[in-house]
Amino acid sequence: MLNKPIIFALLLAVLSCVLGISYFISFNHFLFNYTTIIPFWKLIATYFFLSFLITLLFKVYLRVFAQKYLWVFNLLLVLVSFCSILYPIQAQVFHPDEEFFPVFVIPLHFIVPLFWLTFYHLIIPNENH
Amino acid sequence: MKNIFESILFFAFLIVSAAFTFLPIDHYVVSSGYTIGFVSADPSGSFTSMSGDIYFDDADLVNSKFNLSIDVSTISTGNGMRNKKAQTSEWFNATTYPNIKFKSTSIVKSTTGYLITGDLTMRGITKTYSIPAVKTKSGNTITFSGSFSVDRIEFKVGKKSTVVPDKMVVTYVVPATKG
Repeated sequence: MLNKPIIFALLLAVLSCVLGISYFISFNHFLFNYTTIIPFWKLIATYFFLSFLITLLFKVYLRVFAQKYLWVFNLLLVLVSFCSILYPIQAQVFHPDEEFFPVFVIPLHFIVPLFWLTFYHLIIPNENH
Repeated sequence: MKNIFESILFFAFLIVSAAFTFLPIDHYVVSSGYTIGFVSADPSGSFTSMSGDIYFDDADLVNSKFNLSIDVSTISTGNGMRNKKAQTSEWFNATTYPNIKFKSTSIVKSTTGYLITGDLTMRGITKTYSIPAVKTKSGNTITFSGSFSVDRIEFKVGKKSTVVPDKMVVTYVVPATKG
């Protein structure tokens, strides 16, 4: 059942949202509150978008390259995730605790890719892992 | 058939989540009914023409922006001679600097409404000002209002004088309609 793209993408999105929001709430509660910069709904929408986009790209990749060089896809995903941290590092935010904003937001960039790398084999058809 | 339904549902999720992720912020254009007044012991008056864009979303203040421009030649002090004098090089120098501009750099919530910080440019001189604002909303129109103090000497508008005070209290009401 999990090899169906929609079920898999939903699983990925929901898991990412649960972890992301838990981290978000903890950080806001114990350290700094950045909900004025990133509201909850934006985080949820972004995680759903990323989960469905990565799943779609992976299905396209599988169609083109079959199951060869899956590591290339995952490597690209890791590199893109890593490069994406440049955005919060360079972003100018207006918040009393702006210097800690990158510290808060960088872990959020890796939640979807980490869940993807954990579960991606479930979406590969006829794969015996 | 089931596969087609699943594909449609998949793309629906993708498109809806993308729409929310990249949701454009509401764009407003300054509409009629605005007032920009300045008050001091003497003189007092208003500017009768302004324009600009406002991008505003309560849930996304980081990406909210104000970009406003006031036409200096529309200064009205209730005295024609004084209006002309205000536009000379000694005061606003309207020929060289026809507009007073305000461009926001940050908007944060305050206890009474919002605090809009930005670059206020007058006579080619730019200073950072924080302007308190109260927002009201009615249909497609949002209105920002408030008052703040401007030191005209900082902008070299006129010289120090015993007659005209350095500080002017600016009161504003800026309605903007969704564009």
